Amino acid sequence: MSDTTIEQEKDLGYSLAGLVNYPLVKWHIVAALFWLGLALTAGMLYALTLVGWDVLPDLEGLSRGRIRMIHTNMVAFGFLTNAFLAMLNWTIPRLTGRKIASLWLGYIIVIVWNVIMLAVAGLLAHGEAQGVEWGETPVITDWFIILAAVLVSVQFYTPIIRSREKSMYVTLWYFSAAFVWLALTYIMGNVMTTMLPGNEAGPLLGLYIHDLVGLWVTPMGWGMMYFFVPVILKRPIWSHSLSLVGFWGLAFFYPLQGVHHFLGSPIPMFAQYSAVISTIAIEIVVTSVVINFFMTWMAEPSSIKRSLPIRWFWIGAFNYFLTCTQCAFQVTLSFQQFIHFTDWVVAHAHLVMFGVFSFWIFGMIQHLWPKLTGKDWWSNKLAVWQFWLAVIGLEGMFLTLTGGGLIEGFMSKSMAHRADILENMWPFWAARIVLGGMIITSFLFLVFNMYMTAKAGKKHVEDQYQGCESLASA
Amino acid sequence: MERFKFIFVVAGLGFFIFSMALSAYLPAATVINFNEQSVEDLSEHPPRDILLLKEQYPKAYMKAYFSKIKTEADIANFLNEKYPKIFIGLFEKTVDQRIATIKANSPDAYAAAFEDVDASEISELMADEFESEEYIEAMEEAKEGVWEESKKVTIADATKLLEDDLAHLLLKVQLASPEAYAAIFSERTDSNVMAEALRQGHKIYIGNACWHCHSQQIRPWGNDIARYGQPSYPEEYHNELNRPPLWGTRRIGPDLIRNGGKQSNDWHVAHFFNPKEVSPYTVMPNYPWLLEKDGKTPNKKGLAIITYIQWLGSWQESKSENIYNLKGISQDNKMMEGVIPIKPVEKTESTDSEDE
Repeated sequence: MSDTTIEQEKDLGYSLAGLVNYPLVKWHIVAALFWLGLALTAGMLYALTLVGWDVLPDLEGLSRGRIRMIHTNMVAFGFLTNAFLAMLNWTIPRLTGRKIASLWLGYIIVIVWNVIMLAVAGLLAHGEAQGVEWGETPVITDWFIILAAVLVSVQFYTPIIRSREKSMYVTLWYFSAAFVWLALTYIMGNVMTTMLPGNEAGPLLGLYIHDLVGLWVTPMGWGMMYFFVPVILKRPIWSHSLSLVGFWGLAFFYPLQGVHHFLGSPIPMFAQYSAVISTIAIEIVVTSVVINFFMTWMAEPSSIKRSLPIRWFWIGAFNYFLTCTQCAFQVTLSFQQFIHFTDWVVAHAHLVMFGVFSFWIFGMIQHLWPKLTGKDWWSNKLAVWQFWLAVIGLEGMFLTLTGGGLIEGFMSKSMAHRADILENMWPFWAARIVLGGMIITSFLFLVFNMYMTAKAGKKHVEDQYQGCESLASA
Repeated sequence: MERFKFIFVVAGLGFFIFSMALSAYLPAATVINFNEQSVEDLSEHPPRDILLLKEQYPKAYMKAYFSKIKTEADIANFLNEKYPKIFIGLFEKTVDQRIATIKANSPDAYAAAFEDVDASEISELMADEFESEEYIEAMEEAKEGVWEESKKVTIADATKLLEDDLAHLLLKVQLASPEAYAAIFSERTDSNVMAEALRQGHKIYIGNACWHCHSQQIRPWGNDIARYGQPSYPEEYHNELNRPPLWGTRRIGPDLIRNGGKQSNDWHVAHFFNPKEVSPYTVMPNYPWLLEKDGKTPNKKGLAIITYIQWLGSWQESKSENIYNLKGISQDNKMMEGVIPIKPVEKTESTDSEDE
């Protein structure tokens, strides 16, 4: 243990050793990457069928619709949620000075969650699904997911409630709200929608699609960004008050927006308008987060050259700004006429889920893996390649699909025959395959680099307990 | 700040419930007085295309939905027992066949009658009234009742004939005696079968994520009206098969909410087997597991999904007549007035407003 650590511990009044259980974090990261691999494969197969290259035989379990459901569900629940659980296991003990509720519970969560994911993927391929977008998880698995969400809440509320810190850092605000929201959102989307017919369930579908991203993935992602960026930079965040404004803004505006996914549906117009207005209002919140990130980074702008994790967070924050700006425009009824039901929406979804939150997770892995394994990265060159391939692949895919979506929208509006529309979409879909291939290559680089680091990396010398307690100094 | 540690729980819950009230409860409250239709209600009067499935694919239909009369042998047995006249009439043997039967079963009688006749001439001789009686007598002398006996049709023979051309023979039964035809299919009513098929079809539709490429929602803007007809209204989603509604967010293929009846059952069978054969530009994948191996008849899953698709939109009295004619919507539905330009245009000649 180095001298600085001992000094820190003196200040804190408690020992930092053994706070975080490293294998638990590692297992969640490995599981997350496994499901990401499955999701990327499924996405690529789906893209291939669209341009007419059916590489798979005509088997029921591998048909296109089922592959699509596996793709989206594995991204949301398999990859992102597993990575967030790894992140929670790392951050919450460090922010509260308390261990997680129980190590056993930690391993139970790892096993339960990934067995559920296996069941979800298997049952989706078998043709058991629910008519809820992002929530096609078969009915039988729904209750287990809710149970797992309760376990996660118990596991991580315990250290938060017993926290030794005098004030709650913004990350903990986000996390504690997200646990409540996850269970509520999931019950709303997967249980309540099946109990109501037609127009009564419709708004809930929209709320679910949006709240899963807005009230689970987003608070987790923001909390993660607010923790890791100051830690990596070794500087406090620019404004803690502003970050709390962002939190309350999210809590107030985000749950209201769901209906904007079904503009023009038979849902009453007052609900549609309120969704549009609150979506535009969320720009205030987004701006606060984006400003806070970039001002924190501006304390040391050269870090983007020196530190790869910061680069991941930077491009993620940039994409976040892009997505949310896009949001404010595309939600208006005049845009909706053209872009709804087209690939524009697909591009938007990829930009959020991959371009923002997955990029931030890659940044976290880039930062954490040497600490977890105790070894330096096997190859920095490979890590840089991984970064550029993912960034070019994703941004290219975003531009391609957005362009394709616009063309599709305008052709639809001008009463073009579907044959012409599909013919014109072909080049965009073909380009997407190339760009998707870049993303998959980048993923393979990451996995290979992580494997080689764990196996043959040089010993990591950096202090493991660097500045995590001075975050809330604002 | 520490004192307010628990405020997040209250706030998190509070804002969530607030949003539920505003975005979910209020919209739901506007349709809360509608009567929800169960699948049984929906199948009370099956649309024409769904009724036709029974006639077009009788074998698949019986195999899928019936337990007593299920195969061709069952039909043959049933007709033989309950409707012997129809049975004999339907499978009546030709003279050639009867002679062949005698030759096989009682060679003595055959030899006695046609001892010195060339085999190729028998048919001609039997056709001649005067001559044939002579031969029949000769046969009866050799073995009594052999000619009458040769008329009998075995169940195996009848089954084979039914297997060759079931739909055609059933049509004959229907023409000869509607009663007998109805009796064959009397195990379950059409509505009963449709209800089962609708439920299964809906499950297959979701299980294969059809709704991720085909929306089920016609918007009041963006040329949806010109392409697919009048905008969607709340009533048409208020049934058991829309728990939750399958509006969808992507439209790679056409919207399907009122697609029923636009294509025939045969079209759907061919299209599921290989969509590119029917519309060359399509990107829809093949669904051969909805059909038998020959690719010409649907199996139970295929019948179910075709029933579901043909049901979509069957609640519209006339789909292609006039897109602005809001017949079928309760006129006192104030909510809709702000959304759709309600202009009751006088009826013009019905034109095909659809390109797909």
